[in-house]
Amino acid sequence: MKEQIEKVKAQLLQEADAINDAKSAEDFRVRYLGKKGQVTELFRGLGQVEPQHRPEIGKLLNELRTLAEQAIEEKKSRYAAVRREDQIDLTLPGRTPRIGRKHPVTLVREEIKTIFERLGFAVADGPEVETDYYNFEALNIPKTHPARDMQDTLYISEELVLRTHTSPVQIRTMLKQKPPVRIIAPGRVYRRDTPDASHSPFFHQVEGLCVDENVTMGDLKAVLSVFAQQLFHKKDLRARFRPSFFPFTEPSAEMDIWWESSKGGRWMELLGCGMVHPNVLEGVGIDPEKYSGWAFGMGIDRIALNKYGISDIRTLFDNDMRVLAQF
Amino acid sequence: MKISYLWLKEFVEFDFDARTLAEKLTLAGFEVEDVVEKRLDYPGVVVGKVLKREKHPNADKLTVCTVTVGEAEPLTIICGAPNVAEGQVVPVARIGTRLPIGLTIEKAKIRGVSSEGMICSRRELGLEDDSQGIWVLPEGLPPGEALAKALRFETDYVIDLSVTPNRPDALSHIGIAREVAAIAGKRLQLPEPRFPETSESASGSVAVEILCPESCPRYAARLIRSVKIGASPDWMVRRLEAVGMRSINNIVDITNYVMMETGHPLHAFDYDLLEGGKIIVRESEDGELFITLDEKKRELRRGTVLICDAARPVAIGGIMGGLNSEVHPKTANILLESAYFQPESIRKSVRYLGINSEASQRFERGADPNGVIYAQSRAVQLMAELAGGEVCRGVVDNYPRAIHPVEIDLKAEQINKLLGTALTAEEMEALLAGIELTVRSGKVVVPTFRPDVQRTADIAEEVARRYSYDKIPVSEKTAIPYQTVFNPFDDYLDELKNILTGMGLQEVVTNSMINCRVWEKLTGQPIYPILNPINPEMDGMRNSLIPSLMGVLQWNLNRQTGDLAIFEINKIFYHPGDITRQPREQYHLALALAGLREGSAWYSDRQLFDFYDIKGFIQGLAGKISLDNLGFIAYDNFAVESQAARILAGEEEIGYFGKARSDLQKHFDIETPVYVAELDLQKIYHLTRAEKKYREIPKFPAVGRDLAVVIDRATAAEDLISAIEKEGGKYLRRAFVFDVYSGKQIDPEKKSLAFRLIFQANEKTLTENEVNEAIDNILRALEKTFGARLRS
Repeated sequence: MKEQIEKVKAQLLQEADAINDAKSAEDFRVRYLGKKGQVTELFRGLGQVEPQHRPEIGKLLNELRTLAEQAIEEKKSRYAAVRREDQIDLTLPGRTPRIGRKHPVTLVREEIKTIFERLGFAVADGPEVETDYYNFEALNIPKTHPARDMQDTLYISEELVLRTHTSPVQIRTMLKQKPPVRIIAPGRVYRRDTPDASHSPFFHQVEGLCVDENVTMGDLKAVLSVFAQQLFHKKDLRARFRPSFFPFTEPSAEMDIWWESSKGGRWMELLGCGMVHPNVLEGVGIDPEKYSGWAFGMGIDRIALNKYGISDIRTLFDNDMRVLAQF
Repeated sequence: MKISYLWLKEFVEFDFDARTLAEKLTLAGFEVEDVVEKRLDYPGVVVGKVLKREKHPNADKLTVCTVTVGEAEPLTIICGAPNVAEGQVVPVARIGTRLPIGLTIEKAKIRGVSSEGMICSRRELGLEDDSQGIWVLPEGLPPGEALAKALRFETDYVIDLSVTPNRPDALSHIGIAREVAAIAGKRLQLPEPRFPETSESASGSVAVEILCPESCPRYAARLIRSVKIGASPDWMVRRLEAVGMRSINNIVDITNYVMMETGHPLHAFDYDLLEGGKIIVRESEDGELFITLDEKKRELRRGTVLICDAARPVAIGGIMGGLNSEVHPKTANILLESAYFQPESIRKSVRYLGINSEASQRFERGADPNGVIYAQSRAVQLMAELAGGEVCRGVVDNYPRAIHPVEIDLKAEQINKLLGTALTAEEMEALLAGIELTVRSGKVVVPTFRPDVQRTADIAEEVARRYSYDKIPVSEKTAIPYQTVFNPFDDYLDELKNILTGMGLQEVVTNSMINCRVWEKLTGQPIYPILNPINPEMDGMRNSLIPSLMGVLQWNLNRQTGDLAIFEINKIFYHPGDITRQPREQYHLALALAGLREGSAWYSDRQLFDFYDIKGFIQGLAGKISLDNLGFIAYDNFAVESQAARILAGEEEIGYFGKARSDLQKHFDIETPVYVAELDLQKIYHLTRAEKKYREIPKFPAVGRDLAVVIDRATAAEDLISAIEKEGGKYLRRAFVFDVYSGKQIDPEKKSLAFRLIFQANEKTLTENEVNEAIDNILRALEKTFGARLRS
């Protein structure tokens, strides 16, 4: 009998702890003190206990009943204190204000802008409908230059195009501002590409330009390496520069970064860059013997695709809310 | 440009495997896009001979072939190719062979007949991406011998390079070999063409006259007699195939082979089809017609270089030969052209002709005027060796004004200044020597095969390329100018996006190109057109962001995303009335709302977005950016109607908003009401530029009073507020509508407007009387002007 009492006591204490509302307190009461409750049953068994042990067992049973009653009292008073109007359902969603998010292209653009602003660059802007002169000629791409075949152009008229790159902003800036120049020019550009997974007829680039005395290719490497580290939040990001060709830079380079993947990784082309071509500097009245500069251009959308793991560029411009809500 | 690894090895002894070579070329500026292995030494791939070919008993398109592979028991092989025939020698993949396409040959029953191997096509052996039928091998190969051994097929790698347009020299194996030699520190070894010449002098039978030395500075002709037109040897066919060219006949193949080897395009004429033994190089006239060897009739414009005989044109110089003088199976005598055409002349011609040939690609980028004879001699040698040609003595070489190598001062200091390096002139000289840019008395002599090297910056690139871009030291610090031209407008656009997303609007980014015809009709305004659009859906530049936002709503509504609040900040383009002028580009902000204001959540009031939502967004934004004095005037335009307003800031019109027009809704097939707004951000920017100024807050308590009046339904709240402000006395600080009611107890022609009036004085606590007096004045004025009556 004693053992039984101890067992019920242990169980009772444990269950009393678990009471968390008025209903479970009532259930508890029924379970122990109700007509068929465990404590009540024990009292019923008192008759069978040998008379000499009865006082002792009776005392223990009374203590047990008091314990249960106290527990019920305490819990009931605690949970009864929740007034009807205060009752809440913790599981119902809160009244959430509508959440607006920036488009992934905007997010990457802002991140790029922030990094370059820390490095002393200002933002410049230029028209999207450009003259042939700014988009090509002034960038050392004459009418018959084979480099014109590298990009298929959308024309408005003989002399006006939808700019194929943000590079014309370089020219516009240098014509307005004498060195030192440190600018980036983010913006929309156009190519005559039929839309598919990797092509959009409009996309976004950011151009960079730095012109001053004693500007070297070492500076270009430094700024772009720091930029890439910050953009991809990786202090030890591996980058490499390799020779390439752009009519408006000489020497020209492409910058690759090491892109880790589950398959081990690969070099990924990040941007094109180079030292501003002396023909370009001369064209805007800057003496290439005295000044030098570097420039770069890269695709904002491409970076967004890589950063967020999107495989089809059209996904960015469908503006499906199920996609945009992820950013 | 496709480069064969084995071919390259003929010119330079290097030790890199194909992958390493690809990596090194990439780092030297020749980006490798792909490396493809060409091999046939797969264990189990042997020569077989088809002894018998029978129809498959249970399948129409299959045959059952009995094929010997040199063993006592021939194999039974089921074949699906229509071109299989008895007596053919074919490649056979035996049981257990693993093919490069990833297939392992197993013994299998095909429709009830066992097959003990596979007769292979060139595709299945990894030689081609696509091939028709099985590969029929030359007769006489011993059955059972390993295929690679029987064909003496050496494993090769095809390296697909992207050559930048400034490097015409790299469109050849020798050009790439020169780079590889420099990288590997080995010598470039060029074949030395040697061949016997007959006593007949070429100049006796051929004359070359150049009438346009500007566009064709050099033309050299050779005469080769008694050639036998036939198939090219296997090694040559294989090499041409490796670089993506089809074998035609030995003579044509030789010109192609030499072009791939040296980079210099050649052309072979059937000498007997040329009239008068004469070559005249001249420019075309407008409207001249000519049939090129692809059998297309071309109408020429003035200024295209034509190669003519005594009577008529026989080729478009540097671009494509003519049908009338093409080498054919009976050709015996060859006039071999090797010429140099001026790049710009070629570019102009290919642009309008729309021809992009292997030859024109090289000439338009710049061939080597001094490489003319070498390439020609190499081809002549091969014609003598492979086609039995008898070479007439001498070259008829018309080269009136020799083009000499450019010389550029080696400015070591300037180069170091540009690169950020500290190389000595001697170090630079050594680097340049590797790619045949030699330095003589302080000047870099640039060979004519490098037309891209013109000034010091170009020399700097060559130095840097040879030195390695990776070795250029990365600068540690830089000077940043204190005076920089910053761009507050761009920051302002960012700030607006912060505010608008904070207000719960989702940003979208959409195409600026729209359909002119549709949008001119819908907006009633001219759309700035694109001359060569990709398709009619994108043939103009948008003059409003609303169409784009409607498109986004449509896309999402069609995908069961129903409750939408979106915005875009982007440029729009105003047609200047003349497409030779640039359009006015303006940054606009557009908003669009559709569906339930609070979505379908449990707490939602299930109310659709309405006029006051869109107005609220505008006023909320205006409040946040301190855009004061907003006014609203009833309005409609192409985008909005009925519940719509023009937005004024003071006198300035800054945009509009309201319920989307029904024809717009219809065009986008949207039924749920849409509310839109469009604002001119440049204007707003200029109106909100003032710095914020602090206004002291009053120290004495304010007194609030509510005043409800009943007035005609049509009366505007704003008019009453103006009257209240006017009559409210100097202590009235603010008056606003806090309730609008119509319904029970109100005459249906009337409505009740309840105003809250806030009175306050800077210098004292207001008395009850002072406030009551003001209220009386207001009420009198409202009664008098609007017939308002106090609501009891």
